Amino acid sequence: MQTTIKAPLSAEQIEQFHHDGFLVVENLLAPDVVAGLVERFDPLFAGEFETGVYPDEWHWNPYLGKPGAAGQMTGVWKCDRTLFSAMMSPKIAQMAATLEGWNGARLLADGIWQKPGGAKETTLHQDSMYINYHTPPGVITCWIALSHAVAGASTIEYARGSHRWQLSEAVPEFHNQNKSYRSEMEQAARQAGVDSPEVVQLSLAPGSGVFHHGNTWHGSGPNTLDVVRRSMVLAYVPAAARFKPFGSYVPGGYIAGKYRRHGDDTMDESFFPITWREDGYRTPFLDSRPANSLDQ
Amino acid sequence: MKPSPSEPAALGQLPPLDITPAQIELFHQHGYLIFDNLLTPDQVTQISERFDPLFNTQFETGIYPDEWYGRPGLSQPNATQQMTGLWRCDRTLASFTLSAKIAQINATLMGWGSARYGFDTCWIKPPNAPAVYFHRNNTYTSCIAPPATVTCWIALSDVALKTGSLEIVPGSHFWDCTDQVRFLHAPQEDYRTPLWQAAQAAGIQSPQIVPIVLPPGSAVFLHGNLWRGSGNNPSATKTRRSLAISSLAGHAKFQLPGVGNGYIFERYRQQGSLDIAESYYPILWSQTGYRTPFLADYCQDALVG
Repeated sequence: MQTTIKAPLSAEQIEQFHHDGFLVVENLLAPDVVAGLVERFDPLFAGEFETGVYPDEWHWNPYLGKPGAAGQMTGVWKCDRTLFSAMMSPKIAQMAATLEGWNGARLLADGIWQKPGGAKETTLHQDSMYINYHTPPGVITCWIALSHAVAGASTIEYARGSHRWQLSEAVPEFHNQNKSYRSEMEQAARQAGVDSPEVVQLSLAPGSGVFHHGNTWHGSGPNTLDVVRRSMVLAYVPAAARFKPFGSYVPGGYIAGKYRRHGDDTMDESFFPITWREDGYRTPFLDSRPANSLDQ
Repeated sequence: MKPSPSEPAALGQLPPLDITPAQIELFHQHGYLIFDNLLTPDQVTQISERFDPLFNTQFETGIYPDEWYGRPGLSQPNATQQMTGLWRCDRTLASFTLSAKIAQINATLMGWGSARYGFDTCWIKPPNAPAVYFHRNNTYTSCIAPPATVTCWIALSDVALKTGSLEIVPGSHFWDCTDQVRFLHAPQEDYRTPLWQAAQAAGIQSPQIVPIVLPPGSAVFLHGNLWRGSGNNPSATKTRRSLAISSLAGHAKFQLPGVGNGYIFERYRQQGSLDIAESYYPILWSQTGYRTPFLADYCQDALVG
């Protein structure tokens, strides 16, 4: 099926993305789509997977989890058809590719987050710290608010322009640090000669999103309000991406590295589907599943 | 010197096992078999020392596990810690969980000519850790053909009733009953409820639950259809640790798409193929001597000298 959407973003928006390292795009998802996605959160975190497939990563459940702690899940497209439908959007993938100047976008990883009132900070980090094993290089992430994301309620925050700093060593722990959640970012800023990095806390309505460059420092503060902040994350690499040559395993391969086959640098579309390409190609199995509610 | 992949010693041609035909018969009769002193005390220590880094997000390879419960900061302090897919995260653990020796025992007990990795899981039950529902491991392999697994469950600490022992029901692998995938940890009801339901379906009046008592380093081999679970850890001070190494038949393939429950396995299915790629589920031992070649480069075999 050929899916083309003309001019998803203006030249000004693209320029702003490259200047700041991030770009807000409002109304990426319609309210009914947002509502449908939010409904899936409780069953998913409770371990009720519609397809019977477990996610790649699943932190927090209502049985063993600490009340008020953050929940995070990765690889959810394999578990739930509603999330699959939204996550395989060609529209969002096209925007991602357009911002990076790629001829197509491959979904590397997805994620959902929930941060209830009282949830701790999420340490600022650069996505490229964890996604640096492929060529051609590059990663762009779309973070979509599924609830009101506001200051004080753990909205996403960015160090403006930090995508121009050097890539730092991987931050080892997002959830449970004993130091300031911004300290590693501030250290990177000093190394880049930036004394007072500008941290921008976004205000986003449900369904609106923000794209960020793989090197842009981002994270979120504690949730001090009595609301649950929910979000969905899509990380893309170039459609043409392959694994770099590695030996018996992909060092620092996080989750994606598990899917590399020995002696084969292919990023298999079974695991890393191409969700938009300018020539109209799209990984075939995506459209043999239920229709995409975003693009009907 | 590391043997080359072409040398039989590297490929899984091992000396004959210390398991007698009578023991194999017992395994089939009861659904389990105790194996004393599978690991030395030093090996138990070597394994146990790897767990703290893993649960603190320090993965030696930089690869994350397939399944993870009990993360510091996000979980209750008494939460059971369970992690699956250890071999990808840590090569010391891989040297045990991918060992040809354990795979050979698993395969021999099941009558398979070869065995491949199925899942490797550590279970850490701190004081007051909650119960784990009774279940059958084969419930989790239903998208695989044959949908069968066998588990080598190794005690890494004293396993006894006072630390929330593993409980099994001998002979329950013969029961004609069903099980379903469920969240196993901290059930809100009696953790034996699925067992009672299964027993009723199988026409068993009073299933005999047997607590497994093992010293560190000893193991119990469990048939995939054997019902097992565990109560809470009533100890105020002692943590129960174990390592479970489960094999699939070497000739296993995926069922047709949509058949069975995908659990972790389905994540690794390649579109348009029923093959289970050896990169994801390597063959660990075969009667022919074959062992997936990349393993020789990945890690040593801690149990094959």
